[in-house]
Amino acid sequence: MEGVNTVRRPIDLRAKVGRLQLDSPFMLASGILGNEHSLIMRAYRAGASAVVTKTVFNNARNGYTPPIYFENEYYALNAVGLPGSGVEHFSEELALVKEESKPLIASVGGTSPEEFSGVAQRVIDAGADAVELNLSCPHVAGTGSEIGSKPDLVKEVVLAVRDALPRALIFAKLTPNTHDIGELGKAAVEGGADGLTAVNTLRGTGFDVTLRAPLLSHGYGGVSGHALHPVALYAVQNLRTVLPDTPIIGVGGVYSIEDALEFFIAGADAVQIGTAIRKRGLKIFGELRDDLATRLRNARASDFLKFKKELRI
Amino acid sequence: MAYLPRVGEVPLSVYYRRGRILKFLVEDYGGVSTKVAGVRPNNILAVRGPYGHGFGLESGKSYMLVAGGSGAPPVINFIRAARKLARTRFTYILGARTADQLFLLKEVEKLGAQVFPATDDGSMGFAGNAVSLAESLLEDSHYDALYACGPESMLESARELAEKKKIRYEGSYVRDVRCAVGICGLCVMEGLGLLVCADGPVFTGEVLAAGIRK
Ligand SMILES: Cc1cc2nc3c(=O)[nH]c(=O)nc-3n(C[C@H](O)[C@H](O)[C@H](O)COP(=O)(O)O)c2cc1C
Ligand code: FES
Repeated sequence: MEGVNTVRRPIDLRAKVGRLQLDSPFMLASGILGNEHSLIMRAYRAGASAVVTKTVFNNARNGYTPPIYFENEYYALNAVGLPGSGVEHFSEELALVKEESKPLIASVGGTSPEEFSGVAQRVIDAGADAVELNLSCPHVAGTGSEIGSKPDLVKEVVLAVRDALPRALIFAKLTPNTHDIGELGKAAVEGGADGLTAVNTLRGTGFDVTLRAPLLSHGYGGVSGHALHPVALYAVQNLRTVLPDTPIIGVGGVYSIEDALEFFIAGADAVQIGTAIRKRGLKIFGELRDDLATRLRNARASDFLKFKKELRI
Repeated sequence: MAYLPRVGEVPLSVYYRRGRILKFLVEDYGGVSTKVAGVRPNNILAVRGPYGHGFGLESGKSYMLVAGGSGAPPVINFIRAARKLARTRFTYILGARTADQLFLLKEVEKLGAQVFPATDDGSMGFAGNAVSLAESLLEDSHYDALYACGPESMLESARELAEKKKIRYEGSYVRDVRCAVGICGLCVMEGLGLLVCADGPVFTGEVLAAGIRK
């Protein structure tokens, strides 16, 4: 229908996470389809405002044998085991990603501060716009939450990466497997992190009763999806209280715009989506964008940054 | 996916399903697959799935079907469905290195369908590879489509042959399937943005040519 009364005000969905500029607050979480350049491109085309890659280590890793993933209506359990071909090959994949306008964030793993900083250097050289340090995977020995649940080690790793890359954009991805995530956040910021991603999965397990066998070959893994959502919201709220000015990305159980808005109320600047993609596919990014635009329109708001500020309590 | 409790899971292809009976082929490529291939009566094997989709089927068309190695199961499912359709014609070629590796040959004969075996060493049927046999049969008569399942090198030559003959191609592809539900990305068709577990395992020639650009 044509006519002056039907003209809609343009809606500005742009979000900002510190120096990271996004065309919407909806990013792809690490470990979900982000292991290869054409899948990364597929996520961008579906509407993800940024992609965080699969965590990469210095050397190739096999990961675990299936079953590596289980899901019911409440949560998912995974123990993929961080498989990958190592940073040398992964740098070639990163270089093949042809998307100039949206950030590419490389998730970096390591078992020592030196490995973290070495891998971070390589992925930045290969063209990544930022790094997200995986200080939080709960199911691989010697890395992730084993390092990431100790504030002094978190600080040491971030310091090493900051030393190697004085100007790079560094996010620290935190674990909820701790009694005080605020301490972990503070340690990361003291080490020189620009921002925080909260959270990775909670350690958990499950059994097939008929088989009397674990649901995952590794025996245990990480809990994500709906069940993680309140845990992640609390983590973001807690971090926001102790670090009022630090950029924070919320992640855990975002399936709908309501879930995302809860994160913004708690103090997140953007959100990442992982497990929901199993059910909803990558088209969830387009749907969330549309739903956010509708919310803004209904609230007579024209831009997300202002809208988000007013949401905060 | 077939799960040997407390050991691990392997992708498998069911070729027969009636009531509570499932028949499938497991290839022994080491590791967990060796143990799954070694199951004995009374062992428990759990199955989840099926995932993905098989070959496209339309009535009134003619199909050249080529299977190699352990690639027979999806083609057998196709044959079972195709036989029920009117005016639908197919020719089935089963290839292997030698005669005793012509897996599930009898299964197809039991369906009343003719099988053209092809063996590299000539121990049974056509001496040479299955796609060469398909090529010579395509010289003699027209088919609407060429479908293939087997090793990737075989799929590649089948795809080229279909392209040359300007007929429809579908192939069933194998990758490192782990989650099987489209979330881990490990089964990617490199450069195409497609997942074997969720978007495949059968891909058409057009999809393979276009990838996600489509
Ligand atoms: C299958 C799977 C693989 C994952 N792999 C990684 C990974 O490589 N690195 C990482 O930092 N987080 C990884 N995660 C954690 C997610 O990035 C995310 O923090 C978590 O799943 C919570 O978000 P969600 O509930 O939206 O999935 C993985 C999660 C899943 C389900
Ligand atoms: S096996 Fe995980 S996406 Fe296909």
